[in-house]
Amino acid sequence: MATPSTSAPIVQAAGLYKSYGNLRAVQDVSLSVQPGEIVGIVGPNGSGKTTTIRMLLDIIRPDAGEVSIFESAMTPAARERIGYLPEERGLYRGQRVVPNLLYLAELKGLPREHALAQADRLLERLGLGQHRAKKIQELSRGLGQLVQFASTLIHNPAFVVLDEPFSGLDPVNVRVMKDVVAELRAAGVAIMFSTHQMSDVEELCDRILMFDYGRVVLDGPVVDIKRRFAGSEVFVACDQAPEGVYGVQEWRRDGDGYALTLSQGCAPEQALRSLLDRGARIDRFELATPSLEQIFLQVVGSRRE
Amino acid sequence: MSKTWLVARHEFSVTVGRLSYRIFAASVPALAVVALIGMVVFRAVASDDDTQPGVSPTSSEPVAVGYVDLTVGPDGRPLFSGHPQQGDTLFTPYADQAAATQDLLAGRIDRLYVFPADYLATGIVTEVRERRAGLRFDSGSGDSALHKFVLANLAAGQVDSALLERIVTPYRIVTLGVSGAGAPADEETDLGEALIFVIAGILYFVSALTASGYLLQSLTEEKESRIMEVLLSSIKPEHLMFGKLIGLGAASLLQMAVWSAAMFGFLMLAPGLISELASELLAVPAPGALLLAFAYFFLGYALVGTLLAAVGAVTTNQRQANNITAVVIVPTMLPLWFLTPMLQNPDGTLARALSFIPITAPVASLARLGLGGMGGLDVAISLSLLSLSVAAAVWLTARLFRSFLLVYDQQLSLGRVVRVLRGR
Repeated sequence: MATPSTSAPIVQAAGLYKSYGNLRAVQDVSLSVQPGEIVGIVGPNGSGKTTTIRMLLDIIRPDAGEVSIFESAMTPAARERIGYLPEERGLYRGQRVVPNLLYLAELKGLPREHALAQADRLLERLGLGQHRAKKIQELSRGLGQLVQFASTLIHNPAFVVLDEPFSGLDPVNVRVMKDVVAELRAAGVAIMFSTHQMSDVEELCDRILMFDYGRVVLDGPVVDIKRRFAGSEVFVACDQAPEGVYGVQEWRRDGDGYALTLSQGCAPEQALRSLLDRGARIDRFELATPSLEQIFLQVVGSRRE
Repeated sequence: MSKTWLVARHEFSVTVGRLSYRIFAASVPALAVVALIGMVVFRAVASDDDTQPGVSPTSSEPVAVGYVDLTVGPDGRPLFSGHPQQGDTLFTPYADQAAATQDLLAGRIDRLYVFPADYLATGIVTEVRERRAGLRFDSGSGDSALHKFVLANLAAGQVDSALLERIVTPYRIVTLGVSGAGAPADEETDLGEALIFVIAGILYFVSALTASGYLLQSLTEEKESRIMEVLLSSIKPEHLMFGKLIGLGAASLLQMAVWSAAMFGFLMLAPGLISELASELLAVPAPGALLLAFAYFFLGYALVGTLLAAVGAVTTNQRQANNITAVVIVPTMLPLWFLTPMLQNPDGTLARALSFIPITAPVASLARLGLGGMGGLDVAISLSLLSLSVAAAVWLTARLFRSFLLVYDQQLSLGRVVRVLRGR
């Protein structure tokens, strides 16, 4: 796998713009991905995610802005270090699995004999060993997707872009792919991961880029963003209602506990101390951080309004 | 190996591996084999019938003809008493028609003619045949031999032997070709060169059509299967286009080679068929003619292939692509529609114009070269314009490739095509 690096970003973009006729698909997008980092790209349909990815990979040219990949403009050698699983997936349906993989690997600069060994290894790793002699059209959609995932990784890329990689997969195969992605990160591969599934982003990504109307509206580590949107809610599981507790503006029953909205200026530990002072037996007390989905709806929803 | 060659190799192997390609490529050899078998069977049947009475053999074997002469000439002797050997045919006189008929039925003679006593007055000669069901094979040899036999005997003694020979065989035509300066020309070389241009024209036309079909199929399949985006993350659109043109052109040429070999084999093996043409095909043509033929073939294919690649890029499915293909293919065929005036005047205005217009130049120029009506200046202008148009087509198609290869499920917009070509 790729050698981990802690210095320069694998890919860096500054001020990207792209329009199709009157439609401004991407506006002033800047981003970077470090080695060993998984960056999640989220956003509504048509928000500019795929266009940005295509510009990063030199599939389409930006109207303005710069892309640097492996510390330079796109070169043939750089192309060979990139693995791309596009949202619009496809393989040569009339061909068998291994010839498909070999051709795509050779296009990435891998010698045929190495490609064959890699194909064998990846097909076994992804549980596709028994399907290697089948034609693509004989495989289920999910298995075909796994073959395409194998084609994305067959040349040991240092930068991997996965556009909706888990759509259409059963939970078992999703788990297999997630494990492989985790292995790639551990090996120092930089990964860009576009999805609508916020739970996948929370599980896998170190950082997110949220797109809306062609712009990046949120950028940062997942933990920081969740903390930023955590606000003033806490959850407490205790044996009495938090009536009259210091700093609690309002409360409501929430499952086996209570959701408390604290008044401005009241720290969560002050509310906790007040509860303890009242003799409440507390089983659990935690900051109620919003899910990424809630943050997404909040950010995108507010822009729609 | 460069990416272009990888694509070319892939396109070649995928196309050649298709069942439809193999069936199409094998069609001409199969037809040649069937035709050969048919000819062999035909000959066997004819040969079998040759052993039967009343059926004449082929001209290459001696023919025995019997005749009964009941005529009386001015000198009191029968009219047909001499000149029994006419080519491969031997005329044997019979005194008795019944005995002659027995020999005919027994197969000892192939034909039997009876010259009646009033022959001089009526000109009637009776041919005696066995009445049989089924086919009857007549060769002209017997009739021709009879004609000469009758002439030789009627004129014998009336004219000297030299004049008699001319009466029997009045003439034999031989041809003499002359060059522009009036000097005798080498007929074999001329024919060989003409054949090269004719063959190049046919090859160009058929391979351009077949390769364009493969190209459109390949591009639209890749668009429909959505593999295009993966390819474009690995290779530049221009390299992808060149690879396809080379690979599919090679597949088409292989098909042409198989067909040519089959036709050549047929000409060589077919008994007595067009042997002169076959020997011309065997003759080594002049290097200049070969070079010209190759130049027109290569540039013509590059132009048509590149334009059809553009069609494949801007269309989103096979049906749409097939509809627009005519825009390229029909102009290519234009010289065929004007073949008659071009044959009549290969150096005329129409022929010259068609050989200068890039899309019609390959067919028109190869036809003119084959007819010997294209001067060096015309060739230079034609090839220059064709080369320039190939370069322009490659440049424009590369732009379309980058802009349209990832356009799926959309109606083709001419306005967008124009905007892309204008760089907007």
